[in-house]
Amino acid sequence: MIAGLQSYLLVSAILFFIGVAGVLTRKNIFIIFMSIELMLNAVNLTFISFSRFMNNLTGQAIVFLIIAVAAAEAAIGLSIVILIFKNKDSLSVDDFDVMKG
Amino acid sequence: MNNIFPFLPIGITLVFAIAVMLLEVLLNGKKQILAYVSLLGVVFSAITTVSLWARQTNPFHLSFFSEMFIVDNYSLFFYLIFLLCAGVCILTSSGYLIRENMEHGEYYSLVLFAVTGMMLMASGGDLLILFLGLEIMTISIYVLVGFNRYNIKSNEAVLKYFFLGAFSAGFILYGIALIYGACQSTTLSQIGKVVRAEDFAYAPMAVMGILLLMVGILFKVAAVPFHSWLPDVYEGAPTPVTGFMISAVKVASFAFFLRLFLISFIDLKDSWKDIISVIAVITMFTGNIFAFTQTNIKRMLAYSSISHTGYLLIGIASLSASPENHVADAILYYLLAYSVGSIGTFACISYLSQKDEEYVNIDDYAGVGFKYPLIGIAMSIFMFSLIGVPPTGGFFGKYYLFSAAINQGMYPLVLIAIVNSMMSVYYYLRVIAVMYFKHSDYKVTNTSGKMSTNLVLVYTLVGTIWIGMGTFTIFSIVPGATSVLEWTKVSIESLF
Repeated sequence: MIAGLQSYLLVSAILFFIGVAGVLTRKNIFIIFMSIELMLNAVNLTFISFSRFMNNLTGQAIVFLIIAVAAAEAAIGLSIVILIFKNKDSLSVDDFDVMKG
Repeated sequence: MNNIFPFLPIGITLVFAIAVMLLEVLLNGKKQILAYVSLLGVVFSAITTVSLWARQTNPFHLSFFSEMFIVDNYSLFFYLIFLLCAGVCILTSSGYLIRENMEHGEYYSLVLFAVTGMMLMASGGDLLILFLGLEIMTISIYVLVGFNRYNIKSNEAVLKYFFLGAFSAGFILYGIALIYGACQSTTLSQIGKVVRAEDFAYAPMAVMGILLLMVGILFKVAAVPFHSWLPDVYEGAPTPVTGFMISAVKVASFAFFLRLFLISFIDLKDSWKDIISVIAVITMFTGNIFAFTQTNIKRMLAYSSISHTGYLLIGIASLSASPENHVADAILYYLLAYSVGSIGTFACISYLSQKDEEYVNIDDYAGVGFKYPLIGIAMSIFMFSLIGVPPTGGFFGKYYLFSAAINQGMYPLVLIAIVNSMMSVYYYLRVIAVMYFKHSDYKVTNTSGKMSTNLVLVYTLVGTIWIGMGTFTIFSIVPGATSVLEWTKVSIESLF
């Protein structure tokens, strides 16, 4: 049996919402960061499957750009994590509550 | 058509951004020069923008690379707002950076990179380009927010901004993916055509894409319930950067929002109009109610900017496909008045605050009005503009926006907005009251940014009043001075 477009879309939607759930529930900065990457990769899967089933190459071009953007974001994100760890010695989001109101 | 001229504003900003970064290595120690170099870039770019506008028969619409990059009056109007905000940000930063001991050349370079991203957001004709512009802007702004490396507040601000920014980028992308699947294209005008067709079979998927995209954009413009990051980020970021974010970043997000919804999704208006209206109402109330209780002025202005987002969302909710009813031009006018007023306020705040971001509570401003007359007058006029008192720009912004919405039959929304404007009078006037009716013997310790601050204040003051007065025809007898309202009209006409 050949998997149709719907199954691909379903898998990517599930992956995306696993990512969303991870961002919303986890406390460790690294896990949150990984969840965001999972969301972006779920989007890539959506683009690729649309592109494949519609015979339209735009989707695949977009995926390359998304990968590049994700890499740039990872570079910034990891340097932010290092900066924060140096100043605060903690990676839990609960410890960042200086500003309130 | 095969002319390089339309690319000059964005090209010059990009070249200067790279040049400033390289110059930083070559010049050891003399960081002040970098501020002037980047300011020169901003000025050149603004000159090319204005001459581009003046050379064409308006309204004009040029598109390049199969409609990926569009230069029209709409994008040029936004270029000018971004360049103005960037210029003010650079001028106020140089004194601030010396005081906070963090003068590094990449600061100016990042401001220019952020402006490049914003320009792409204003002139992208394809969802992909709009997204790339958004990312170029936000990635530069992440670094700027966390620029004060040893300040724990700045760290916390960048942490929150980064994670929520990346999270919302995920939603925007998923929305784009679904729209691409439904319409088989990512070009805005093509999407508009597909959506308009009678036999459009994938409407549910397109609507889902629009809603996801909307969640992402509402994160960026900080509408309630996606606003929780904004007060913390605005408080923790270095003050000139906060000024840049409250004006240019918000305007850029609205430029993206407006072009997308006006060109592509206007025919599916029934699916998003009600949601935007509800969000507008809760955004206005949340912003205004929380602003009451704030003691820190940056935080107070952050909440007030949330309520301004609410007013603008009324405009988005009452958009319609024809340019005749002037809703979209009212939004442009409001954005201009709002950005000039708020960036001016932040120029005052960054001049008055002391090392390590102290002296930013509202009560600290006691007696400032008499001791520093220019700052007192400027701050008062900006506050009046943000409240919406005539003859400042803010009044006419609100007037045009609300009357355009009334013409579209949005009576309840406009009524709520007027109630909210009255509520906002209290917290804005409190700043003026503290400045003039209390006494203290505070003295600004650093005077390094005095010249540039005065320049900025005069510049933004004249701007705020002129945006308001410039709408009267009396002033258009000055040669070449068409009223601001005429500009916004031409900008919106160029879209169609």
